[in-house]
Amino acid sequence: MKKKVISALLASTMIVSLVACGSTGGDSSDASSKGSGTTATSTAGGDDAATAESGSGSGDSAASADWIESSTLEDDAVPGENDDRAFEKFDHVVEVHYGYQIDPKDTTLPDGDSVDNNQYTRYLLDNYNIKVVCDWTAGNTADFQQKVSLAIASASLPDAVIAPTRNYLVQAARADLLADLWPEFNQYASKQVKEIIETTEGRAINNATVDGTFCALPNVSVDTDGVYLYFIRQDWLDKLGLEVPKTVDELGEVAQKFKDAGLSPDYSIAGIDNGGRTYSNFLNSSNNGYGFDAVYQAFNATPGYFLKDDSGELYWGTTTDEMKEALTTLHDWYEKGLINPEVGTTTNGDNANNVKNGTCGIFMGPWWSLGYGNPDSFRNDNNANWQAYPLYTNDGEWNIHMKDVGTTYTMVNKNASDDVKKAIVIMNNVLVRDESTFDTSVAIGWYPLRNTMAATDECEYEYDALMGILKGESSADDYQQGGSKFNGLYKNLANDAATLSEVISSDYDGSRDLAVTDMDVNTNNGQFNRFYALLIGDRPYATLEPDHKIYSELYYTIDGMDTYWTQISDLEDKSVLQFITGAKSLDEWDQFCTDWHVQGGDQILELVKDYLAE
Amino acid sequence: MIESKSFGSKAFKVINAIILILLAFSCFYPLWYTFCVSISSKAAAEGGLVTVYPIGPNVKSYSLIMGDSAFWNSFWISIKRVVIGTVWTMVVLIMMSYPLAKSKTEYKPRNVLMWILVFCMLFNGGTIPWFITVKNYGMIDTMAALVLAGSVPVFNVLLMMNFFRGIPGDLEEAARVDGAGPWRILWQIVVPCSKPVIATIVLFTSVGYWNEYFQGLVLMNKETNYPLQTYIRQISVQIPVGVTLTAEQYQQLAQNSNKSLEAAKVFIALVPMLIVYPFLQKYFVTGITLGAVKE
Amino acid sequence: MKKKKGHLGLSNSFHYTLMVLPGYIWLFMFSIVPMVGIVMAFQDYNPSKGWFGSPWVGMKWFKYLTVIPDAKRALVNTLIIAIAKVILNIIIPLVFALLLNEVKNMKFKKTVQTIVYLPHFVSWVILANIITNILGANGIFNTVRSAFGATDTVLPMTIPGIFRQLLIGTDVWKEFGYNAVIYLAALTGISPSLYEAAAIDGASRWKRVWHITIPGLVPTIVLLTTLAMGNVLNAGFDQVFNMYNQLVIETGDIIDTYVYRVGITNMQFSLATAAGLFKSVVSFVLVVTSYVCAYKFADYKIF
Repeated sequence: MKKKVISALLASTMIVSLVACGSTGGDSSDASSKGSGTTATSTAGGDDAATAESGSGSGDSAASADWIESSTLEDDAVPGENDDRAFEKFDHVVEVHYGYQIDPKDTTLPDGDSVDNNQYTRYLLDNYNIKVVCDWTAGNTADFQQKVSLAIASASLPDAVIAPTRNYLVQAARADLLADLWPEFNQYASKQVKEIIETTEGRAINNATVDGTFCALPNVSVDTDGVYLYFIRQDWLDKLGLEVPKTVDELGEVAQKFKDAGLSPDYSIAGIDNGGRTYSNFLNSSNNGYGFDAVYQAFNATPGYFLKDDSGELYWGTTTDEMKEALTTLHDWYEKGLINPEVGTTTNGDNANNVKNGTCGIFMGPWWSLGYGNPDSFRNDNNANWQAYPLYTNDGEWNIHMKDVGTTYTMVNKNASDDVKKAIVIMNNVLVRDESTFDTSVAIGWYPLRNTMAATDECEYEYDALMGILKGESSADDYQQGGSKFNGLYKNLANDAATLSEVISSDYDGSRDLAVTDMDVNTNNGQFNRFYALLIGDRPYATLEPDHKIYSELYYTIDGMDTYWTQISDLEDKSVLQFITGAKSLDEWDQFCTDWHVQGGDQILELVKDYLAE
Repeated sequence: MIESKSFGSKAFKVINAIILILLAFSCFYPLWYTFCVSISSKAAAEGGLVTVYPIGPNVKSYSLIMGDSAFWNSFWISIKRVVIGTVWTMVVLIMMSYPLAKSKTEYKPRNVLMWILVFCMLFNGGTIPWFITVKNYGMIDTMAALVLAGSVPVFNVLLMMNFFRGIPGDLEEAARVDGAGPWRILWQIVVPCSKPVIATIVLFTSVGYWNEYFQGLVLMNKETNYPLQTYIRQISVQIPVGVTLTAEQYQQLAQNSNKSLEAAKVFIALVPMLIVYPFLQKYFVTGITLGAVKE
Repeated sequence: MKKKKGHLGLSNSFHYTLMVLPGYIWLFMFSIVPMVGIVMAFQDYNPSKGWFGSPWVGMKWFKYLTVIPDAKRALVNTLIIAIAKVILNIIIPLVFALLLNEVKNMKFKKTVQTIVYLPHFVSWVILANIITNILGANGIFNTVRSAFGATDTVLPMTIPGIFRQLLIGTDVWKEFGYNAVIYLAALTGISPSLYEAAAIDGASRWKRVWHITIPGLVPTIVLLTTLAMGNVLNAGFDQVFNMYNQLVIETGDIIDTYVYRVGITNMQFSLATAAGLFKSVVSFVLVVTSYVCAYKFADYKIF
């Protein structure tokens, strides 16, 4: 409990300092920053456009900008209890317009339903009088980015839209298009939401704040999304009588043996699709499925991150000797035909084909890559015993790469009325509270403006709880509402505990590592995927203590950086892939490093240095 | 014409025929390949087994498409767009090209108007201003945007104008003597004389409307308003640079890849063109030739 | 010259103006109005302030364009790709037309013609999809290679060294049949009596082509070359946009795709507009030059 109070305090001090920053350090030529600076300190008289239009709504709701701590709030995790604040039904219908990315290949939506008329939107309308209207949709990420970009350029954002990266948030905020969401968020966020925000110790709020204004609901995802492991067919290791590889060299040897034994005729290690990266960088610091992050980490390299050396000097993680070593090894693997020759060029998820059809036994990624990430490989082979392991350095250390708190942001138009802003906060509260109780035979992606918030340790917490049940230390009932171990913050736990026995055989007692043979692939395939990801994919992070947690000094772009960044990120993404495939010889490594620095890297490092010093 | 019957000549004939057959094959094969993939089994399509004939032929992809309302919806939008767009464009182009085909003495503003056209062909404000403009007209999500937003196809105006110029002046003069005004001359003399160029431009315009995807992408807010090419692009597009997928997105991507289905959609998108094209082909040779190379 | 009075006693000019009116209104609404946006190239565009309220920065973005390697790279790629396309799109169709012209079997000739025009009418969205499949790891290209004993997989779409050639090649392939139409028409204009006379003189097939056919085509070739000058900065957005990928960006990125990426993906609206404007201005100069040249050397009025 004490820890929570401290983190809450941390959050609030952070906000106060940010506000101070915004009002003094604002660029005087930019009228918008002046406006937002004052908004954050005294909301009632603040942003002229937003408050003038909708009258007194926010006046009493946020007299002060101080963070209202979760511990001071009534428990509202159970529907029907203390619903009057964060789950209040509007007395009139409030319309929320939004733009949204949908999946054109989705087949779960019943005929006649649509993006803004489905079971989730009706739930919101019936229970909260919130009527959502979808102004536009896009069918894939690229198109969605294009739509958001055009909406920003034409100053025509709908009431709310999810910014795919922080760059969009910053651009929209700088263009003075976003509302100050602080009063509504502070006032109406549910206790659960506040607890989640507090687990990030101020980072989530910091991320959602641009030039002193808190202008978006930040997405908070589990830390383990950024922890990279390697995955291997344990059944193949057993078949060939091999030990689980610990280091990169051992992994390479095993990959060669898989190939020699004919288990992986094409290649042993799967790679990324076209458009993917071989490592996640500071802007996209998580969820890099099929990247080679685990290999870089095992060479003590942290490419794509801003790091500080022992003397406190800022440097870029890619242009290091360790990185060159890592690439040398990867190139060597590529030459030997261990890595997919098509790495970086396959499209539409074809990079995963051999993992699916059981002819590739090694790949890398975050926890969910098993289960959620490769459902077909179990469907094709019920005994494909994939296991997840950390890859250690030669000194036996496990480095992990810490991700940003979240990457996406629900931005709110500055012209949105206070009711709309409140409605958006409530929609988020409802999602956090009720997501696990929804009938997800209709894909949850149809929930309007779904921008997930999860406690950063959700997976590990669930791992411990579920393993406890499997070991017989507790029962599934303990985790149900009203049970002794119920904790509303871990919103999927009740459902997961209840369905555990549908997937995992009652013979399994937790005394050894869980394997695919202990699980039923077919009965409840959705939960099978989830348990595989949680109990096998996340096992290393839940049970082992990493030796080093490496954070980037910065997780978003700052003023003036974009132009250089566009330039050098192109150079870097392209070159790294070419070093691996041999299209560029590693003899040119030094030249690449020089180019990187000359073509804008040095300027970026300077900018970041100044920014961090402030 | 007299033909020499030497060996060299025969050899040339054979080699020439082979070259031409190969060239024609190269143009035909990709379409054939797509068709083969579309009726091959999913496994054969994804395993790269299909070469010159279908493997495990079946119509599963096509029956899947039959029930795909989004696909047919887009297909129908494209058809409507082509029909409305072509009629509109032809009427406007004919009326526009006729005065421009006149000399400066006959129609004074002609040169100025011409330069405006050329200027517009080369300059544009870029995607963003264009989007904002169309949006301000309230045309987002409308058929009007799909028809009009591309603006005047200047190249086709030049083509038609050049063709009109080639029509003998005495025909018009005779009509004028009979008391016909410019409108009657245009519709009763010039247009009937210009069948080839009109057929050509009908072909160009309809194919242009059919193939256009970018406007659909930018100006349509809902997929239910997407024309077919935009729809196809959206299902076959790759993951953009620098995007990381979440677990759910990844799962969707992994489950939905289906090469033969994709090929079937691509092939159906080709069909209307393959049907219309032979009918107009006989005209279009005369059409572009006379439009571009003045006698 | 006396003004002729036409229908209803109004001058022909009046009717002509009525005729062009719908077209020019259309042009005004969708081409000229958006051009106001060009001002963004000289501003630090801020969406909420719009085109009339954003601060002016003069030539800042143009100066900036001259220093960023990406922009230079895009320009170089554009020039290489576009010029190669211009040249090959004149020569290859010419060769094809000459070969086809030697065919005397009309049915065969017509069939070949019909087929080779086809790709011209297929969109790049679809062709890119097909080409990617054909050249992919599981496509026919690699299947055939392995049938001939190759053990490795070659992916032409990912090799920077050949991507430009691939772009040029596929474009020429797509357009050669269509581009040959003009030559074929010009060939029909060459009097058969010339050939007959030559045949009687015993001139070989090659000599006839060289001394009769080619000279007969020279005006057309000159004309097409002049007209193509305006395309020197047009490397083909649709094609590249649908075919390129991260691996080949170095050789495949052209001005148009660069403008798109900078403007839409990175939201540097002003910089993108500046790059686009640069292209327009250069193209305009080139087209005007070609207009003058065509008029002077070929006595041809393009417009």
